[in-house]
Amino acid sequence: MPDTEPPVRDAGFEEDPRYRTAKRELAIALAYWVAFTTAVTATAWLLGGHKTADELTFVLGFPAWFFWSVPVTCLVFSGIAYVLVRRFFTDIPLSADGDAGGPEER
Amino acid sequence: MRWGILIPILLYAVVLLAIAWWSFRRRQAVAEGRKTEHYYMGGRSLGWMLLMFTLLASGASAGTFIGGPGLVYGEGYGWILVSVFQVPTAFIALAVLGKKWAIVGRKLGALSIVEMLRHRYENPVVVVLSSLGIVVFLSAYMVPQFVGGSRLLEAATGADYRVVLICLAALVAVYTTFGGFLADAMSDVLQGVIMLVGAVVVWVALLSAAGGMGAVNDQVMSTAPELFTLPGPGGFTPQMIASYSLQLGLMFGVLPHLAVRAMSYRDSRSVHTAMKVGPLVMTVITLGFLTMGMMARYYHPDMEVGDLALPTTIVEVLPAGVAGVLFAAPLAAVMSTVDAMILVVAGTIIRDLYTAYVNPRVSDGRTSAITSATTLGLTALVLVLALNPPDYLELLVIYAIGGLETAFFFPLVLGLYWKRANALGAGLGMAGGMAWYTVVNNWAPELALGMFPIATSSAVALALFLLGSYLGPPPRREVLVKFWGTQAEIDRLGDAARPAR
Repeated sequence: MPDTEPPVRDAGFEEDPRYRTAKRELAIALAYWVAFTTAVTATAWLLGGHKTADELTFVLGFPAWFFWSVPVTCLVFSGIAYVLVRRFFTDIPLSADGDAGGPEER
Repeated sequence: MRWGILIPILLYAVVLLAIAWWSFRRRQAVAEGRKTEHYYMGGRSLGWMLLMFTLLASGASAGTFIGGPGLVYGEGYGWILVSVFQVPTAFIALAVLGKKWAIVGRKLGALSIVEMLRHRYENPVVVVLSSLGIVVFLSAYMVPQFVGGSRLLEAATGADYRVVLICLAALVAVYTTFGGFLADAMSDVLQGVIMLVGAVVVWVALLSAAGGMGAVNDQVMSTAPELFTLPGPGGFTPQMIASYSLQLGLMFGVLPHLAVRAMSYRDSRSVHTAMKVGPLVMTVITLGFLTMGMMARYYHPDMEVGDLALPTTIVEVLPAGVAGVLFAAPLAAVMSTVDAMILVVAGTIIRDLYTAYVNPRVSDGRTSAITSATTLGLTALVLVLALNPPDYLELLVIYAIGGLETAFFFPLVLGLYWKRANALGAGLGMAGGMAWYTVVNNWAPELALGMFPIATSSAVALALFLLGSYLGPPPRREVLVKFWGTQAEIDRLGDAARPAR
């Protein structure tokens, strides 16, 4: 689904509409990064911060804080990345003039 | 000498040379005038497999395989926790630089970060600063890579460290000089697959030999229980943990050798697939190799140099042939990182400094000769530095990475997405950020405010960038057209499209 909105004119030249798609994807990636960082840090610290080794519980042979904050969170966020790209990332041509490899239209 | 381990590694070296040779022949067939692009970027033709693995392999370096497990061995689970921030790096890098990076790169025919910066900021100070940053920091980064690879081989095969180091350097030099970018990307796929399978195989083998994670835990509990705790020996407070994510997750993609890859894919389908699969692959590789650092404690609870814990364990537990194949993986990771960097550094010296400022009318044949000489010289320099290896690899690696990220993140990302960004902002941000980073690392650790140095350095770099951008004049209209306009508008510029000196 390429962008079909009309090109913007503000600085007296025609803007490439594909860059708006790129900007949206940048925003998505930044939000994803914030969420991932928060999830890993919070899970680890809330479950395991300042506990001595004797107080720890173990899940599948790993300390519980580690188990939930690392393998589980990573797998969940790998899934989220997949869904984000599938649902919100747009297929656009990358060639200089924006054609999908066809002859140039002037 | 353990020949059983050495033979698979030698075979691997032969395969690498074959790939380089094939790539060299293929480059011979490329039309005149496109040779340089082909050498540095493989003709912008990477499919999703090549793109994903080349990003992962160039990113995953000695740190993941040697330094990382060594730190886990020495300081516990906290190190795995902060290392997982590299899991979404490929996804984030490809989305943050984004398709705009790839499109503008194609429009301007840019082959490197520095070239993009030259077009965007049109300022010799910015160009020279960033070029020097690349040359200095990446050369520093290559040293621990070589050290790590050689140490690993020394532990695995019993060969002398110096001999191994020299052979490794020679292999990399030959391979990079002839193969260029495409050979690098091709071998990255092979390496990525070996890493992925290797992570799983070693994991299962070590675990079954130890009798499960429970046995490993009991052993650690009785010898070093603090390895299970947070903050633990590594001092991982929440702000420390989160600031690692800045370095390994968000800003990692602007490293010159990775940013080049984020320009070189074929189409948006390739980039989407790489983004979908990348995090999962990286999860397996990261967790697989790093948890082994903990398992190594079961076999060798009191090693002096943590870096050697994992290789020593692998040699003891696995049959020789399998161990050899597995050692090819970290070795490959080291080599792929180093040759990607050598390409970038050589390109910076030759294309961004020499032909841009010293001798613009150098011929194609001359360029190729100078490239080879530069590559050899660089490898020799790194080799000399690597002969006196530092104690813990990872910290040196992180030092180099942080400096480059501080320098490049805002000029690249804001330059792409913010029209007001200008040369004064870029220059101030780069110089200030790098200066701050150096001071914090060397003389004033308290300025890091209990976080990883990159956190306050990035804040300083960003503040200076914004300040400079508002103080200085906005970019020329031509620059805006080049970075925001359609191709038709760029064509209308004619000669004005060339960056002003």
